[in-house]
Amino acid sequence: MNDDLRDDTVERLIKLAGPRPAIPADVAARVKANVHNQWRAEVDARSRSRFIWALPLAAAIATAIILTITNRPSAPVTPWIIARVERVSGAAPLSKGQQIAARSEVATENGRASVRLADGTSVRIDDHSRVRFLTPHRIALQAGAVYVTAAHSGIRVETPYGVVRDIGTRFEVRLTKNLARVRVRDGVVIVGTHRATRGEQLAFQSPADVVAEKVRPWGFEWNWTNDVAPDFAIEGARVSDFIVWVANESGFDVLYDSDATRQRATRTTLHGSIGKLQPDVAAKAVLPTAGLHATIDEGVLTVRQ
Amino acid sequence: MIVHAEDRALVGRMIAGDERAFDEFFETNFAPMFRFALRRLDGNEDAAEEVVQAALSSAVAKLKTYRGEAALMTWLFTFCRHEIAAWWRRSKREPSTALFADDLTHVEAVLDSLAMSGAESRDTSRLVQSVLDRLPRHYGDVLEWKYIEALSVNEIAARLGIGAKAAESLLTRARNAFREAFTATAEGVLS
Repeated sequence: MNDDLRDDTVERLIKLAGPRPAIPADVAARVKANVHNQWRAEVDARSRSRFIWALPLAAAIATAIILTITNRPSAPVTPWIIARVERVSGAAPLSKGQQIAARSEVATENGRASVRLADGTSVRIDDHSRVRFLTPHRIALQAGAVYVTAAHSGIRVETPYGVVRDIGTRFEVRLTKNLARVRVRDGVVIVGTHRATRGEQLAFQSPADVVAEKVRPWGFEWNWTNDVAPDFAIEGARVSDFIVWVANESGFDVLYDSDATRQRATRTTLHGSIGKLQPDVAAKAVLPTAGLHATIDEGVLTVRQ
Repeated sequence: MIVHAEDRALVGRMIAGDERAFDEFFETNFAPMFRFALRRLDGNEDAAEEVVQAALSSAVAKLKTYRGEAALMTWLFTFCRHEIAAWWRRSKREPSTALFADDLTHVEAVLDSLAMSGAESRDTSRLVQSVLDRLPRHYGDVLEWKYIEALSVNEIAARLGIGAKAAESLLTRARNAFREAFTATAEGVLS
């Protein structure tokens, strides 16, 4: 020990250095949740493995069958599964239910896919896109486009030109030849120090080089996202929930012409199926069965009796 | 060979599935690892988060390989260094060329033998902060509370939920540990 380093020297050094940088609480919480999931999966996998090995001991009779079981190779390290493929359209080289491990890449080629992250966030991937799923809250867009419906704030989409951070929202991120572009359908996203809300777009070549513009949160530019949209289970659903789904999937604002119409939508239950209908088409087909009808004009879905 | 019995016991509890052990593991190691990564990633917080998460995830998948031959934090920093190198490779950029003292094997060995290790550069502030990060649990905190926040022993005791005598004793141990680690680290850097 160095005798010269007296208590007052220790005090001076620590004062000189100042406090260590604080860690953002949301970062710590996010990492802790993800690492905890991984740790828990490891613990559970080991428990299962121990159970398998215990079987022949309990049986106490080393039959050939049991020997076969006990001679199984030990389980490989459990991959960290952070997402699952929900829907596939076209010729995407993916299959429904396919698990996606952390850091693995998904390429859609001539098809589209929707992927559900462990936290409930939905990521739809356009054709000819490549996406790397880094963690349950972070994806890297390497080519093409993704449409994100975030289950909570904190999702990040990394692009070669900067990171898009979301604050509870639905948005599309698309890479073009020399820039990235995020269009917000709902909520808020941040790129560098720039924010965009519903109906806004940020185009950027770096977090410091961002151009903001107005865009429509509805219309044909968004249609590809419906191709792999999650199904809406109409059987037994309330009309009001169906209308919310239509609004979410189409980007429309919803207007009820009266409280009576709203109440009717809340009380009425639907039956049947909408198959693969686009949301706006589904609205026009389904609402009349509940004594309601819909008109769509400039991004506003008006519901009348 | 020094065996880090406390660390080994903590890892043993984690392998057994003890939730409180996981909390202790995370609360003790996350912040130092994050700052360790942040300094080596040019202050890129996103990258640091990704790297530390990947490092911790790899580590919890390999807990059974931890034998207590190095301090747990030193073992974790090995994963962190690996992930940092991988991050720079993926980003196709060159890491900054700053010298980090705890990347020097002999410094690592000296500090690890003290159940602590660390120091980053010749810059004193970083050196001090790095040493504080690598001290045993609570030591760095109580020293900051005492000397930067100017808390009294009673206030420190209240913050930790312990008695004043225990807090005084903790402060003394923390001061001694800091003195020892800082001296060893500085000598390592300058040698």
